[in-house]
Amino acid sequence: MKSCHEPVVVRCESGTDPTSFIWRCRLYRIETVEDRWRRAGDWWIDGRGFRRSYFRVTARPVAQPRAKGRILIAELYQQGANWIIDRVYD
Amino acid sequence: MRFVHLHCHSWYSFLAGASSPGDLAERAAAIGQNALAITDDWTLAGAVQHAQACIKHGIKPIFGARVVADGLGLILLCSDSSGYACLCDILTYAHRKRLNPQLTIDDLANAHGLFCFAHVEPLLDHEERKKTVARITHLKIIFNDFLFIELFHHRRSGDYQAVLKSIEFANEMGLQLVATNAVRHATHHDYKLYDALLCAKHRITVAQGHSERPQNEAAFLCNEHYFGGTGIPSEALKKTQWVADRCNVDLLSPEVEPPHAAIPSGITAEEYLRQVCIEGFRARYPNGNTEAVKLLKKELEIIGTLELEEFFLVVREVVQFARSRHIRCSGRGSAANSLVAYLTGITEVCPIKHKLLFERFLHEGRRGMPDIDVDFDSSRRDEVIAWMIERWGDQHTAMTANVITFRLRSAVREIATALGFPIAAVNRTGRLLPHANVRHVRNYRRELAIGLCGGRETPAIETLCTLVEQMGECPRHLSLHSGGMILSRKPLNRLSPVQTSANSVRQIQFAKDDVEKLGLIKFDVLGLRMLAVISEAVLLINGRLVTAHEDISRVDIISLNDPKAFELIRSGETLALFQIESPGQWNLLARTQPQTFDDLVVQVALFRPGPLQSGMVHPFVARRRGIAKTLYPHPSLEPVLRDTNGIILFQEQVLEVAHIFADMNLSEADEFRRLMSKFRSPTEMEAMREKFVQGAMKKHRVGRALADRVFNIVAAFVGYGFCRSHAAAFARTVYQSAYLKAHYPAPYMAAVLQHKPGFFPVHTLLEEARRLGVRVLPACIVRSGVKYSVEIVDGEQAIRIPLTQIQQISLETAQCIVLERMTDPYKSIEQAVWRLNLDIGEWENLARAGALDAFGSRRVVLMEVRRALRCKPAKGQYSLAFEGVPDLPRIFDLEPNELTEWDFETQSLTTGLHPMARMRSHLDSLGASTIEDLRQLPSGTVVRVGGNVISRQRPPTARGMCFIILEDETSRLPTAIIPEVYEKHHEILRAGALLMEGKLEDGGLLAGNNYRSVLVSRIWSLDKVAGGAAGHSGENPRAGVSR
Repeated sequence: MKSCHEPVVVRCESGTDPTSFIWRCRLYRIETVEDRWRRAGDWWIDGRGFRRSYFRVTARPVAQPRAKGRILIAELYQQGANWIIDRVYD
Repeated sequence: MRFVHLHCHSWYSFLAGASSPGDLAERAAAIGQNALAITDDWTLAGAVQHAQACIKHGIKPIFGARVVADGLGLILLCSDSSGYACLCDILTYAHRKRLNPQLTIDDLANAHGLFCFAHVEPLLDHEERKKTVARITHLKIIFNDFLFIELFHHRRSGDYQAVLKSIEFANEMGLQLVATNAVRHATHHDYKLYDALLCAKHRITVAQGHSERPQNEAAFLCNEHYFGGTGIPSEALKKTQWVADRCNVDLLSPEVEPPHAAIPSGITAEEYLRQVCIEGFRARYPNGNTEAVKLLKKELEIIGTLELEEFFLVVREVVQFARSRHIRCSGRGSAANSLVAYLTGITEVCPIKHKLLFERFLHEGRRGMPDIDVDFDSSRRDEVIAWMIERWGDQHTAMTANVITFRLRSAVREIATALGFPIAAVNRTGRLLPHANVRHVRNYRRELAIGLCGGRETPAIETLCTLVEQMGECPRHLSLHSGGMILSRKPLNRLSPVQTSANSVRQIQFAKDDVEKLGLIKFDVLGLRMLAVISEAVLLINGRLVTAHEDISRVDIISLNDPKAFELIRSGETLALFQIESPGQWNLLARTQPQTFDDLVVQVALFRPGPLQSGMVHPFVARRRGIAKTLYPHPSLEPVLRDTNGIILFQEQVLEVAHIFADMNLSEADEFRRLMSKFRSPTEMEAMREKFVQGAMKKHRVGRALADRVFNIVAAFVGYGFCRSHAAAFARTVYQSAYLKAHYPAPYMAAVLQHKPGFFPVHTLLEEARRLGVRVLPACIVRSGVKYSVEIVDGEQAIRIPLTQIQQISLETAQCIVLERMTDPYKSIEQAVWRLNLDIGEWENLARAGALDAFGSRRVVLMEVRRALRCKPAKGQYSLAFEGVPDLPRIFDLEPNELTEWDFETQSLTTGLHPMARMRSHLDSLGASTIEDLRQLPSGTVVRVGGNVISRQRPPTARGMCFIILEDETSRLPTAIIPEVYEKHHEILRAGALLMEGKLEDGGLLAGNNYRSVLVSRIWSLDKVAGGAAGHSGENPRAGVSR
């Protein structure tokens, strides 16, 4: 498991679940959304804090769809209009 | 599909829920729920409020609790009244020990009438799973079809999997599913407060993690759409309505009976009460009284209709027991309006003589049990309670709970600590804040900023204010009510959970108001320190233990017109008297100048928020002193208001006005009074006004304007005044305390010092004794006892300070010292040290307090004590006495100021000169007068005065005003500080002694020279003077004046 905390560009085709994202110049297609959850916190810092929607997804790079061992398990979260890739499991 | 919330915590889960039952019910109704359950952790404390709130919002209340049995979280919901009784029993059993409540599944074996929801943890290893299966199987045997597996999804990582596993588990076990949201707060917005409260509960800050802390705002009262995508099947949601339909408990309409009274065999309670009243009648009215006969007949009829005979007989039994043990007691409150209470000896106030209305106490339309309050000598109240428990059995008696809610200081302390402010800053802030409601927190933003952020307004202060404000009436914990004893014929653990308080007393989980709603019978066994003072004073006057009844009744049979007692009251020197010792009363007494006992009754009632805030005091004083004409709102009201000069002072007068003027019968009039004294909505108020006005217009043919005016007078008063019976009962104690102070100052003040019934500190009480000419003798190991005592010195009575006044000297230690002395007097320090098993701290405090002065000066005996302790042989060793220990060097005596400092450090008082007397020459040089001298100066003079601060108040209702009482060696002086001056000097005002400058004021109309106060304009701190309200500095009390 790697902690990355990097901004990503995410596409949501229907509803609110992400369907694909671009991370480190590579496009990933999301195959399944395994879990969804929400986190709120830091409300004590500026009176508002954050509210995030998390998604644990399995994704595959679009360029090498059949490449072995390239499936990525990632945790993405949305905070406001921004998407962040939080963790990656190889 | 209807979904009902069946797992919902209110703030009665104590720091594990953030919303009141009222807010939860309101929100549930707003989102279209038709029922709502309350399931607080291990308690039903919020159940009554929940029932009321649900009824108000038109939804069905369901009652339950969350418990943990063998590590399994269970929601227990009552399906019917037998289920409610069973839940009470289970919770009582869980609380059988004082520490945290505990249950096993075996303890639930006899459960019935309860639904049980079990929450199964998803990540179980093989062993844990096996145990869980066994526990659930056991629960299935107990609850059968009433057992469900609970599913909830709080939008946390892993919740979806947990739901799936729980469904799988339920299918394996053949159990039904039920959905909940495990609610902890009403709306999203309350999540922050819930999080902060949980941090306070677990003693962590918001920056620290904890498994119980919420990860988001999901635990709120949601509707069924919120469950979309959670994996919870629709059957589990539907099941909630099925369960809700089968939960039917009417908590607010119980049938409760009083416990059995001791009634001679062969006669009924009704006959026996009549018999007791007739005997009482012969004793109270030896010459007969036609009016009393008529009233007795009426009262007995109403008591019979309401089936309260046994209740009166039970209370009589308690009072009789107290009297048989010479425990001073006195009935108070509206019960004193009853002739039956007077004839049975429950009260001592004749309702005929004082024109008291029975309807204020009881009438046929009254709902619920009447309140009978009896004050007992506070030092012996526990004997009465112990007897009651023995008499009726511990299954049928328990004390009422007291819900301790957060106040401003405690709320700021908890939330600021949770927000991560340093403890030192939180402590500093606590000292800057007054005792006030949390709703006023924003009035103290400046104090918060100074205490927490060095004067800077930061966003954290705003967060703190928002959370504290939101706490409203949030309860902190349950404690023991001061006197409400519940008596029941049925075992109490079927009516309420019963738990054990911190001091091992059985208490129910409901507070006073809830008890009334439940219809439980409460008898207030109140401890009144002034009664302990009177008993103690009588003992000291007699100089021996009381054995004969006439001794204890000595002050009960004195005439009520003693000139010396009234002279003392009129002089305003009322410190240490019951009810009339506050500066406000000093001022009022100077103006009213009471002459008779009836005037005292008025005096007690006059100094109440009702008369004070409605501006009735000035007209009353002017009319009473004959400088204004007595006017009545309407001629028909003259008989009602004649003895109070046309002004409404008593609650009974409200009844009479409604009866005579607005044509209501007395039962209706009391209902009118009761409704008016509660919080009223404008609509309710208008309805009452209309009824009153229409009644008056019809009966007296008066105009609407006049009827409206009388209604406004009544509305301004009601709810904030005493009933006449209560004032009369209190006035009797006021008079007794004044009589004892006037005639027996030494024993009375010794008793006051012992029991400290008022709000003045002990050194002020000691000064008062000295002003009365009573000598005060220091604590002494060869003379003092364990209590304040009176000795004869040079033919005069003097007060001896007890050893228990010295810090660290407990009652047990003092008893050891006295008992050892009785076998053989102490002849030297060494001998005393060797004979007594005291630690070095106790010996040092005895020496520093001057209790060893009989053996030498303080510094010398302090050294000798230390030397003797070094040489004291250990147990079983043989002593070589002081061989080889060098002689002490020459030690200088303490300076007078050092003596005062040591006195205050060890006893909070001094028997030497008043600290202000020691610095009088310095005060003279600063142009300060003595307080006594101010009496001779005309009002308006600008004066300067110095003194110790003995009281400091800044009530939230006083619009920023601060009131301080200064004391010097001559007297005491009330001062008032306007907000602008307070803002300028608030740091200085924390000092224990102050020099103040301001305009001298008299007490207003007719006060003459009896009262003086100062409106302060400038303030200086008299630094490092011992004995002020802020305590002493701990340094050498050299007087200095600093700006």
